[in-house]
Amino acid sequence: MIVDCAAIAIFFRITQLSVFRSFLAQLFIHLHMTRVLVEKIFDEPISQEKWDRDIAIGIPCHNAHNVHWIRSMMARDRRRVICEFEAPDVETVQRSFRKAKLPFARIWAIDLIEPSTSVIAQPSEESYL
Amino acid sequence: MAVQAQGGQVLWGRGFESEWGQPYGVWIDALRSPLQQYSAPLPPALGKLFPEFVSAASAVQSDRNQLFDAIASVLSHLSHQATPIVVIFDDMQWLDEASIALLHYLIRLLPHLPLYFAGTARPKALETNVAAYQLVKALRRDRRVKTIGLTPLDATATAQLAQQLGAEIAVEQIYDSSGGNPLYTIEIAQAIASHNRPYSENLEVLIQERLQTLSSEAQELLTWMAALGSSFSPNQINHITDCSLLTLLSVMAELEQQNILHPAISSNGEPGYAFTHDVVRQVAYHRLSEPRRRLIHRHIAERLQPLTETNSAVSSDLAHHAQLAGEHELAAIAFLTAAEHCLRLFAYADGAKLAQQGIEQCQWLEARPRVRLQLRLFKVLVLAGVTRQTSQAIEAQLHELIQAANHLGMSDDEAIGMEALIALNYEQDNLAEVHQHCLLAAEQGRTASPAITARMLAYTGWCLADIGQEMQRAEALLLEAQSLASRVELELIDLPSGLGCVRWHHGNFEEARPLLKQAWQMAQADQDHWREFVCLSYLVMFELEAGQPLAALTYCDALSLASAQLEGGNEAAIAAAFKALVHHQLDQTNAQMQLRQALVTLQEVDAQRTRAYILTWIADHHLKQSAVETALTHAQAALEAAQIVNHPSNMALAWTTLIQAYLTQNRKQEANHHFQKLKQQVERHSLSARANQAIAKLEQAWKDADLKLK
Repeated sequence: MIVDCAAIAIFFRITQLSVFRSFLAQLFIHLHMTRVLVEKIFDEPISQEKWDRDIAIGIPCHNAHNVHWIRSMMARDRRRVICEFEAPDVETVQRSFRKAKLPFARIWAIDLIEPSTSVIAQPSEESYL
Repeated sequence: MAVQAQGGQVLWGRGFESEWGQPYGVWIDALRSPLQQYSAPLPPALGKLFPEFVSAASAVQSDRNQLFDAIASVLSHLSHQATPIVVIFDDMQWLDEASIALLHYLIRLLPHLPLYFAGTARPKALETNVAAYQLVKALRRDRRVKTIGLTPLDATATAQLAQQLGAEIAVEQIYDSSGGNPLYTIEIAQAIASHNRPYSENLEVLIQERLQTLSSEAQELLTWMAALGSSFSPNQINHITDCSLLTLLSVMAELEQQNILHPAISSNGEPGYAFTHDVVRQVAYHRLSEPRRRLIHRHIAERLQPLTETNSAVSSDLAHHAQLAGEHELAAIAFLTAAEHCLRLFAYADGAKLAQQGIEQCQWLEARPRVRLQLRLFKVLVLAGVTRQTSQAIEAQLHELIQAANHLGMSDDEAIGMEALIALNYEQDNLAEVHQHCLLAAEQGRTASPAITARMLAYTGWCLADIGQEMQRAEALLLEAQSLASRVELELIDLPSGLGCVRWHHGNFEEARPLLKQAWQMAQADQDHWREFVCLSYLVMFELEAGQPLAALTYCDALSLASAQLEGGNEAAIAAAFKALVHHQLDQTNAQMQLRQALVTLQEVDAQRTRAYILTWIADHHLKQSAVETALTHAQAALEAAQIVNHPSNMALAWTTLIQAYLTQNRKQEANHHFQKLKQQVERHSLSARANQAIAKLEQAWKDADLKLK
């Protein structure tokens, strides 16, 4: 695992220098980044050590694929995690996870809906009937 | 001179037979002078080779790849300062394996720069240097090398040479005797010109006779010089012989005048001298009796020994002289230091060779020093990388030595033997033999091994090739990994997978096909379903591009089966889409409907890379069928998808179809607008052969439509 981590770190160092040469391409990609969720389910609660190792392996690989980790939401029993990424598309995130040999249960693209962006209508009288 | 007249720069280095064990020696010689005037900050990794320019401490954490990239960056910078740069290596048959590996890496990585490499070698001797021979063979196969054979001097050239040496009278005689051999010509001409004496038909005797005409001081110092090696500095001669400065100056002048020595950079980097020809050095050396040679080498070894405390690079010289002096323990210790130095510079083959030589020296030692030194030497040998075949023998020897250390109460040495065993078992994947608490130590010890480096480089190279980025770097990394992996007989799926992608990218279908198939077979053997899926998807795309849709179809069912083994992802949708595309290419019934549905699914699961690939095929198909509007729609969608995932070749393919569709509709303004964007955003040299062919075809179509390119 440490070997894979080092290999991935080398890959990241090489590609970050030259993977996006064109400013126009960069701008296009920036405007078209997608939010992707990855769900992981563990038979046993995941230990902090295992979690740290997965991060050490996964993050350099993800960065090399232009997949950026936003946050993770871990269940209190540590058996389920949903990780949020910003990436070109779901296929890229999936490929990065497979390359880093990090299993996952599901992966999908999302649209972010937050209260600040939603119109909250006042309930009508009928809704209480 | 021609290069310099153009404003370029020549970097020169030479291999020497007697200076083995100096990893990257020829590169150090070639780059030392330009680095003295380097106009930019030097990469930290260079500290390993040039501690005088970059702190060695800053290079401690660097690996072989970083060292190679540091040299690449220096050459790239130099090529922007002076054009062209020509790197010349004389006597390549004597270059060390690490220097050859670096040369191969740079040739692959930097073809786009005004940088040229030239080398000289004796053909028969080249075959004895496996690394150099393999390099030339690989370059010949790729048609990247031009071989120029040197013929003997003809009568006119012999006459000119003889005249320059003042022997114009006997030109015919010289030509008959020398047979056109330049060195022989020189020796005969000098014999005639300086003493007008009868000369021997034997070259060595000829040279000996000439050496006997030197002053006694020159003859005496010449033996020390010949024993030191092919090149040396006046300081080295002074340090070893304690001769006075005046005598030294006088002797150097005499030997220079006699064309026995010429000014050169010595092996320790100082300005010095080198023998004009190694045959002259050998004759000077072999004039001495065996006992006298031993004494000279012992004296040199004693003088070198204190220097190794501050400079481990001197150890290989010390080992050489100690060995020739018959000082076995000193030689074994020096071989150990030199081998460890090679490992720090990732020169694995040289390190292994030195470790083996050190082990051989130990056979003459008493038990305690023998056990102590052999355990350390075997540890270095293991870290330098061993094949499965030799690992068993090494393991047996390690067990014997550990037992001997135990009997002798040498517990520290016994621990070193255990470390070597752990490293050996770890390298050979015998993890069951390695206790958990030893894993970390084994990991730490492994970081510099060729097996680890090979895995890292192969993975990185494959990753780049898979993404379709920086294919030149991908190829350079993969070939370097292949060379390291072959040393330890390591089979890595990333190698055929990555090299297959690279060959495919360059349109070399004949070489790509067996590599991609090999990768698939390795994935099947490992039961790695995802790698199987990836390899099969490569094969489907490859066969489509090779114009073999029926062959592509044979892989589609296996692709679907492999995707079904993968949990959580969307590989099944991707497999279905490829299958639909192949059916479409084969004009099968319902193929269009299947393909439409597959594209909808790809959009739903957000698989833009595959979507871009398939849409370019469909757009191209519709354009060929003269369904221009449909082609436009699909090409536009393909371009957007390819831009999302930043795949340059797919972008180029989508754009060319889009532009051709506009041209067909006589929408010249839109066509031109997109052509300019294509040229701005995509670098031609990074594109696949398929994409470059599409652009070339577009440019031709443009000319045919009689439009001016902006």
